[in-house]
Amino acid sequence: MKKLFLLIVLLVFVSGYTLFAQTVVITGKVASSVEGEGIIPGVTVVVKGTTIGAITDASGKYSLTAPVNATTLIFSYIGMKTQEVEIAGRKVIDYVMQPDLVGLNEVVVTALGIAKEKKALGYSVQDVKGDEITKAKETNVINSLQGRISGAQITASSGAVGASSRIVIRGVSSLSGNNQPLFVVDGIPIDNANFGSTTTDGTNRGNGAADINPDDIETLTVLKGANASALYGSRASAGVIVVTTKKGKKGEKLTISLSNTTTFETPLKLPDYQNGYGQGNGGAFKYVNGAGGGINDGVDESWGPKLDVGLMIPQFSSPVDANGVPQPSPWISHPNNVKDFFEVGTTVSTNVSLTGGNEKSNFRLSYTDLTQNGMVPNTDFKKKTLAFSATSNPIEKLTFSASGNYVNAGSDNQPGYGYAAANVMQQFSWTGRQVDYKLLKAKQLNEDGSIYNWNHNYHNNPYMTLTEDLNKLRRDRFIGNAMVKYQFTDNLSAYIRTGGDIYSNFISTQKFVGDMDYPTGYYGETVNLYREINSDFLVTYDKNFGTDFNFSFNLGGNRMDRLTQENRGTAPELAVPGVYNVANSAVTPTVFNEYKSKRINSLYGFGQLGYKNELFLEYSVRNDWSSTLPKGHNSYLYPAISLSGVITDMFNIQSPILSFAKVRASWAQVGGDTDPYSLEPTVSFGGGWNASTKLLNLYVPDLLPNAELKPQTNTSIEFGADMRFFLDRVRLDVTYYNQKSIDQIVNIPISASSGYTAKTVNAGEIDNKGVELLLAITPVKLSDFRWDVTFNFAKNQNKVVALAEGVEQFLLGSYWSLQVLAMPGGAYGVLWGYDYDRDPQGNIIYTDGLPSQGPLKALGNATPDWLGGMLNEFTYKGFNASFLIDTKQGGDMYSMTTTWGRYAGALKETLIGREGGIVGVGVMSDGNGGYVPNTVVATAEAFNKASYTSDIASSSIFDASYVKLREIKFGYTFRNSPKFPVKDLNVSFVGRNLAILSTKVPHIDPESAFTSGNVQGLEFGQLPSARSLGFSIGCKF
Amino acid sequence: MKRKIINYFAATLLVLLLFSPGCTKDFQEINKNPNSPTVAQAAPSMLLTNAIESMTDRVHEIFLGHEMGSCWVQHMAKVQYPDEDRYVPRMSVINNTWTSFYAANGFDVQTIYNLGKTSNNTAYQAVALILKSYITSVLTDEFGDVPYTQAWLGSDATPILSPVYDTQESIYATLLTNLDEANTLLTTGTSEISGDILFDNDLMKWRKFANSLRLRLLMRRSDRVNPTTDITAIVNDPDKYPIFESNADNAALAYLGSAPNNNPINENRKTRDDHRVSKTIIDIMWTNNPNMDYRIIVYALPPSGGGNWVGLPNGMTSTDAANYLGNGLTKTSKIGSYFSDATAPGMLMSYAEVQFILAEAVQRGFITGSAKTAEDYYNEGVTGSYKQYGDAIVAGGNGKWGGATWKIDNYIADYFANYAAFDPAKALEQIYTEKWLAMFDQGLQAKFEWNRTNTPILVPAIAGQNGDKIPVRAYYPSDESGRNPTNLAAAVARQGADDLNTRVWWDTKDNF
Repeated sequence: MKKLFLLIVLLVFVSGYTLFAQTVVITGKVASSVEGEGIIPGVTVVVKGTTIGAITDASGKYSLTAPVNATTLIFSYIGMKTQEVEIAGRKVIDYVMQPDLVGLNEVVVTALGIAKEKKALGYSVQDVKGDEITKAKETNVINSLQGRISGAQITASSGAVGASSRIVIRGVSSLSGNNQPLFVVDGIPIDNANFGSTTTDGTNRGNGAADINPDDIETLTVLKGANASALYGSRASAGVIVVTTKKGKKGEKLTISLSNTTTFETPLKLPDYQNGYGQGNGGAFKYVNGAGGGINDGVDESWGPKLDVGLMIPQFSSPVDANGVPQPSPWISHPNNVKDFFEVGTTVSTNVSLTGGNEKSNFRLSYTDLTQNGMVPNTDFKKKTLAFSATSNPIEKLTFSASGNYVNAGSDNQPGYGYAAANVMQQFSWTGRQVDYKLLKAKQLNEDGSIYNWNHNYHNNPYMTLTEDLNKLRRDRFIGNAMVKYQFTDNLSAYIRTGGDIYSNFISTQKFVGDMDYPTGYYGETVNLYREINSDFLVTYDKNFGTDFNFSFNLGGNRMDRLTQENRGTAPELAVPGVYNVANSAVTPTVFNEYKSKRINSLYGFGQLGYKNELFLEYSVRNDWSSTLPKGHNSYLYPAISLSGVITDMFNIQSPILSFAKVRASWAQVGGDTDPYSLEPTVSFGGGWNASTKLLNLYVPDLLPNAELKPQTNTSIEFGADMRFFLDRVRLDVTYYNQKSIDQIVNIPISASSGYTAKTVNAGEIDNKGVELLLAITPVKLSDFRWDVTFNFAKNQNKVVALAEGVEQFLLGSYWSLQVLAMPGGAYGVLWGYDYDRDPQGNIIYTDGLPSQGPLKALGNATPDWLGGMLNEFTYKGFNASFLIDTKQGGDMYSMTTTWGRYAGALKETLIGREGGIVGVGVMSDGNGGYVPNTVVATAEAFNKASYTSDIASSSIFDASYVKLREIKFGYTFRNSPKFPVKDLNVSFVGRNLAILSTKVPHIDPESAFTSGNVQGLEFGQLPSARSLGFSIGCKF
Repeated sequence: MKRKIINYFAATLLVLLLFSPGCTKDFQEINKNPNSPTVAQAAPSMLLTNAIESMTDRVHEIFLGHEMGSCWVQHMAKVQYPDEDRYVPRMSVINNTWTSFYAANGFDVQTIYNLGKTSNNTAYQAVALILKSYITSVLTDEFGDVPYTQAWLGSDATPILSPVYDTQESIYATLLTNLDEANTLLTTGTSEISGDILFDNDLMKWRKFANSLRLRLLMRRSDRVNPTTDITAIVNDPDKYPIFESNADNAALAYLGSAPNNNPINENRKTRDDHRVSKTIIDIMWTNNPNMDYRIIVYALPPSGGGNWVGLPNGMTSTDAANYLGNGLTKTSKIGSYFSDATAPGMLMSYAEVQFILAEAVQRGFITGSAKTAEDYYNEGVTGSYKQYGDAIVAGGNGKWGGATWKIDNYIADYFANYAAFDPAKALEQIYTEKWLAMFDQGLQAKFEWNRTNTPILVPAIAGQNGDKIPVRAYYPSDESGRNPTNLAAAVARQGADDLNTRVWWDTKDNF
């Protein structure tokens, strides 16, 4: 690597210096066109195609020595339009720079990769430039969007390496389907599946879109609603994220870019544990075997004797006598036992890319290495990405282009989740607070080979969990496309393209013999193969009629073929300990394989009618034919239309106050299909009866298919305005939308006495309406200092209008006694569980000082009220700094950390009443059917155990609102010097997920989520999120 | 050159246009599920294998059979996580019970019946009717009124997704008719079955099971409907109505030695240690009586902390249970290894139970002209129960009692001589108590019988959460209130409050 680097540097030097033998000196002066700004110091002037350049001095003057064959100078300055100027033999070139009115003529990538002027759009899109997200790099690109895109709710699930993240734009619209946007890379849709399972005994192994490499992103455009995304079909009804990768440029000389981001991760927030009392029950503890053989020594709770008061008690770590019986040793606290368990995680991402081109072709080649070591010992994640793109015009009007990304992602171990011995966080809530985990790191096995641990009833030695129970991952993925385009005339062009997303994903899970949950060991592995090929064509006709009218029409078609395959093998019990192979199964191994295929053919037409470049009518219509729907219903057509007008142009408003105003309106519809094989009933294979003559078994699945399904429909309207004031110093973009999703294809629950538990039907309606606001202000703009503030705000009102007839609750998921439901009349994501038993006034009823279980009811809702973000950016000469604050307000969550930690006496608040007891706030029976205030004292142990169980979920429901300091960047970009071959040298300090500025949830990051699927609002003892601090360095040659 | 390229390009587009997007003729092929057989391809034998295993698993499921059955009838108790033992059942378990018996094994059985009809295989029809009767009887005995006449019609030509609830009275009548029909189908038909892991495709055993099951149901509703005619008919014509004649006829699934075909208790004990044998049954079999019941050597293990058998009182709080006698975990008896073994049989109905039914029938005058006395049947019931565990009793007792020469008959003779001799003065109490003892590990059926007989007298859980009463039925599943609310409401209105204390139709006496 190093050698290659040197070689490249050398080549650059050699090529640079040999070429410029004959030179000419060019001088000049640069000023601003803005009234009162005058000359501009610090403008970069570069000879195009070279590294030769100069910077204007304090009086705005520059002087540079250019080769005689140089043709063009490039002037660039922050806040001004970068401009190329022909030299044309001149030796003095003065230049007046135009301010770069942000975004006025900004071009954005829209559906099907079509670049459009923002002002011509009839719907809301928002984009993020690649360099905004590469410095403070997130390993999961979804997290980079946090606080930046109005209306996007992003939930990073946990601090585990390689963990998944969820993004939902404009609220949840599908009852049970995918509610995340479609990701499209260079025109090719890619899969964003969750690779792991986050059930009570699973591992979060990330999501598909995390394979997108931030270093290769040129722009990332968010098409928010159906109005913007209708052209992508049903998969895009939850929005689209269009990723355009970096490309080489025509005529660009060979450039090498290098960058490195190194960050260090520590837990953002750990629970507050108590350190006053150790393991046990009722104040008593004595260790004999850690499994109930002593006094409460099988118990994994901390209701034991007081710590640090000179007690001597036999413990797991105590010295043993000749018979192996533990002897009393000091009963003392280890306040940092959990904190010290975590290590400093590291994330090192290095990118090297090569771009170049000549007049007929260009290319880019990029390699990125990401290596992550988790905060949890012995966890890691690695990803290598090789990206390639090239464009060529072998003959005039004909363009070939291709791009490809090869991703190799993997992990030697990702941590376990949920209510299982595999989850170390669970163990810290069910705990003996006196346990010194360091001892368990130093020693995991006793001399006799038995496991050394503080508990042998429920928990593994946590270090053994992390070193033996490995969860491996290996994914090879190729995303790429090839395209041929021909420009028939100035008005007519066409392309055909084919591309795909192809990957194999291997995951394995192993459990050592002796694991508490898997005493006889376990090994399972799954390989998923995924292949989706999209082939499309598009004919484009674009013509101006007279000076006033512009008309365009596009005709396109797409064929999508998707094939998925899953192969799974499991050894439920191991014959030879320590050998993790399906063949090493002590019992009949289980196998599973499944193949699914699906095709969608599409034809679409769309275009635009423009008048005077100030009034625009856009239209589109698409017809899909899906293999998943029954004959007669498998063809569905959906139109969209939008209108936008630039008010300031139409009415010729030229005002220093209102510099630009545009209004827009649109209406769109998107149809949708379903999963393969949803029409006809089949029977399934069970595990088999493994007698000497094995008997296969079959069972009728619980889901009743439906041969009469029809397409689902999503209809939305959107109004918006884009306004700029005070010479664009204030920019405001407002959007209102209203979206209805009807005829959803959903598996509604039916009475099991019908023989099935669910039936696939068209049913239900979910409405989302809301407002999005984007306000950008430039409070200060001096010649060398600029301050920009960008606010975004989004309020979405989600309402489940109807489920199927007679169905009042739709279960999204449940963990322990808590269910997450959709219920008509309210927002998606009702947290449904047991409340306390209460009197008619709502007071908790205590019996003998303890509360009891009341009715099942809605305890909260996971859907937030509004989301917001504030980004501050400062530039001063070469310095730039920014910080980003984001917030989620409203929305509840259930925290299992609180339930477990209070039941088990682990959390700080369980110290309350340890000596004097607790009198619960509420009432008790007066013996005559009425109630009087509760006066009965309960022990802290009894009180917490009665209040914090799965029998009463309401005690651990919290308002999950938060304000977070999401990101800080501080960097310096060195001035390019003609004498120095290194260009654009930038050094930055970066930090992400830095602080929770406001929260109402105790002990945990309120942003936690148990899964990145539709079941939100649950925290289940997952690993704390990471605070990430580090630096980034980048340069070019 | 240029023209050529354009032509190629245009031709390609044309091809795409004409043949690609609108072409849907492959769609049915693409959307054909390659992973699973269609219902028409399904072999009833494979469905039968699954239905028998799934149904037996559910009957013996830990939370249901072992806790809502065995703990509530005080054969077992819980030393950790004692919620169920304190009469706080988990709603998820109740939902799963309903789902499993109706949608899983229940619908498999219905599908076997349907396939038997279409292929004119009377044997599959009969076996399906018997299994369906077993499943339905458990459902109605557990909940009371449940769907039956409109059940399992979700994929019918005129589908019913929200079945009405039938009264237990009418369900019982139908089940008895179905069992009679099954017996007739097996008597007259010539079809055969395969995939039968319960009776190894022996249709005579299915006939015996059908008729024995009829006896069970006739006796269970005997406080409502006099069973004399039916029971007499069965007993007096063994050729037409064969019933269990020995333990060899028992309806018991012989579980296999390894997961997933092992006994549910075995699977549970791999990772959990929450259960102990109840103090109630150990006191009766051992502690209170110097003349022991030798089956204790099979039913329970001596405490790991040493000493003789000690039972755990039912329904203590977890703290009290953990500290019982100083250490509840080590000072009380676990279930015998006979029952926690991987191959422990999954008992659905035993020979002994049939004998106790007949003993009661004679005693209550339900058999006219019986050649055998109540005592004869009673003795045969006790003997049958002992012989059911014969080898295990002899192996466990060897060296402990009576010397190495004692055979099972010695243990039986000794038990009768010292303890279990028939006493006409308290015949029913004896029959019921011995039946309760014999039905250890058949938690659900033991519990249903106790609901009917209230014998032996049981003291409710110490820290019970059900108003100092032992539950006599389960709540309806919460799933039903969301999915079938109207019909559920009608059933509740008819039957009484949807709680643990509303007696089902055949249960005519309050227990306290």
